Amino acid sequence: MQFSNKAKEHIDSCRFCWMCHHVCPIGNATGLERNTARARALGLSLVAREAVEYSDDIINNVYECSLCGGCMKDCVTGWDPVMCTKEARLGAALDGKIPAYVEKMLDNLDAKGNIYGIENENKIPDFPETDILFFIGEDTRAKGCAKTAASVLKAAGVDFTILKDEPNSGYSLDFLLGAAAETKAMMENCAKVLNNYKKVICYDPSDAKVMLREYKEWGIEVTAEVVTFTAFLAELIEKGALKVKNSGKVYTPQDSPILARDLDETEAIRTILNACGSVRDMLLSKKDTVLAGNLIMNEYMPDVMAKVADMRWTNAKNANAEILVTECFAEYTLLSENKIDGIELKKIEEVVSECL
Amino acid sequence: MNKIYDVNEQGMYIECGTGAIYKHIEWAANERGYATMHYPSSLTCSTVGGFLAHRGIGVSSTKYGKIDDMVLQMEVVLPNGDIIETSPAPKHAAGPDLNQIFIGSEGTLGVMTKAQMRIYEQPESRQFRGFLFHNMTDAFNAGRELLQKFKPSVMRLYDEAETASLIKKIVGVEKKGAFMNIAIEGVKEMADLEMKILLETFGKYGAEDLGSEYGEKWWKEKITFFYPGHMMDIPQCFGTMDTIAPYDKIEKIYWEMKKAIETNFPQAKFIAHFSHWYEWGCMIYDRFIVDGKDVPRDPHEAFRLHQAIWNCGVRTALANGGVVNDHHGVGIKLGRLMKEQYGPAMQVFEGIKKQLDPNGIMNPFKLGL
Repeated sequence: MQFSNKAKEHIDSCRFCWMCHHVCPIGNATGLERNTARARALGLSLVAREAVEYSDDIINNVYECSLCGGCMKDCVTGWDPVMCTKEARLGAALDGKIPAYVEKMLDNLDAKGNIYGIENENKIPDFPETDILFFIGEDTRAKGCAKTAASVLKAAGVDFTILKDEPNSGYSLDFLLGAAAETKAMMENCAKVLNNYKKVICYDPSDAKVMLREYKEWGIEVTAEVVTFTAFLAELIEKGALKVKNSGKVYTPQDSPILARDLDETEAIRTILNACGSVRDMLLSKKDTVLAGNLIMNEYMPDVMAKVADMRWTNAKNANAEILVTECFAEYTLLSENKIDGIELKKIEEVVSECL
Repeated sequence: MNKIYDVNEQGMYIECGTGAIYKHIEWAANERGYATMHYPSSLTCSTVGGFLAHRGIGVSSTKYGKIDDMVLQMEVVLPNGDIIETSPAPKHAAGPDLNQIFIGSEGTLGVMTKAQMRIYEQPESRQFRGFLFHNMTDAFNAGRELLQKFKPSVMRLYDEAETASLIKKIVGVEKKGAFMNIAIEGVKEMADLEMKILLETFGKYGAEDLGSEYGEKWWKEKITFFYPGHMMDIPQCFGTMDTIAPYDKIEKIYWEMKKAIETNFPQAKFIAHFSHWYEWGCMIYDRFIVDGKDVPRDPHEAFRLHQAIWNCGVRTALANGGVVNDHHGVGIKLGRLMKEQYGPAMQVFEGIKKQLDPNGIMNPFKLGL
């Protein structure tokens, strides 16, 4: 496993102080020392120095990271565990050592167009061609549906297209393999389609993130304006294009780590929820948000993801709000699979739809 | 063992497994508008049990106490496998305090598995003030007098060497002298009155009032002291030898330790701050630092030097009425000095150890047992 000089410098800047012990949602769920940025840095440092082999155990540990960036936000040395973890995943792939559960997901992606291996039933109706693309994303196409989101956009008078044969943004490949050639090829392919539109509204924050960040890093030009669904909804409400009435309900937002930390978007969800009711933040919110679930990791660590969701439910209940609101399909799905009594769960579009 | 079982707002405690990271119980308290008021720099990485095992302390201890002041009841597993509970209330007249037998025992007498940790209301007002004293004696006397009137939450006195180095670097105080940072908190009316008393008291000792800016900055940067670039690091050779004593002894201990280290080890720098105060005395958080160029290249020699400086410092403290350690614990490293401190009293620890752990399976040699 060959680390880049940049990754080596970053790994070396971890001083193993463990001030990040408290912050990893995976570590907090498992209680295991190996599930912290420090432990990963220790392991990767030994690999980078060629003191140990890049073993299956270390590789499995590398895949036990959700890339949520919580540790990065807290660490004052400035090292980037997310970048190093992704590079380590690419290294595992190049060494022919990716775990079987990752291989399976990659095979599914090849065969069915999604890592879950779910047949695309293609229930998307025909949409006229417009200059706004509503990009649904791999997770929702495979495991859910965006009907309510689409109907909210329609109610706002937005003319948009949804593609029956939507390209994959590359976010899941980027998560599993990092900056592999296959990831770049997938992203380039997607960009070609996106550039047929003036605006792309990404339903899934993961897609928005790769389009706005990873595509740039690869030099893949996206001429369309890419916006997140939450930000777009907030703009529609602020401009009066979407009229909502105050429900009188108290909402607590589950800030998606991707939106809050990667894309610096924390106010859009609050704009929407304050228009629909009132907001009571959970203890760890906005940039301090905690991951509530990751669908990719749920494929190989479902028990841990259940605990991650459960811990976030505890925070939500302690906020004394009536409804926990998500802006990310993956988090909504895993929270709903581990629901607790005493507080409801809704997607942001469901809240808006009920307040129209 | 990291579960939070109950946040009891009536009893003002959180019951948790001792494997819980302290920051997590702080969060649990914060969610309900309370706080644990236990803020060591290792808050985010250490556990409840870890702090209990070595009698830890946080920056607000002067008002809220050490960890041993913050415990109600504990569950402990004895070396023979019996599970016991200590007294349901920490203050009583039902015999010696079981809590205090196990707290600070560093795993030598049993495993603490559950604890009820106190929580406090968040203060309505938290006010900071920085001062510069012309000399250490005035600073000690001012601090002692203040503690007879009320308890600030944060009270930290930095000697001239540490003021000129760390404090200058992190907080920005550019003047010569001994910097003291005070925080006062609680109900606003009382905090305002306490601030008035503070200014009057310290004024009597010629302290220069530096306003609130340095104190606020200190609070904001209180963990920064431990980060790369500020904290000591390889290739330096360094150690923290904290001790504690009543006011009639602590200043002498400071000067004697400084003299002993700097005389016997001219390559070592001695810096100190006094960060946890009581009505009767305060602790000294003193460090020796040997720059990399003066550290022996041979690792065994370097280790011998490290041990020698540490022994010198702690023995000087003991000779002048101090203790082996204030809040970082004894472990194996300082275990050999326990008998020097306690003399015949050591048999009490040895007797308890022999009764509870006859086979010596529990952290052998820690605490010198």
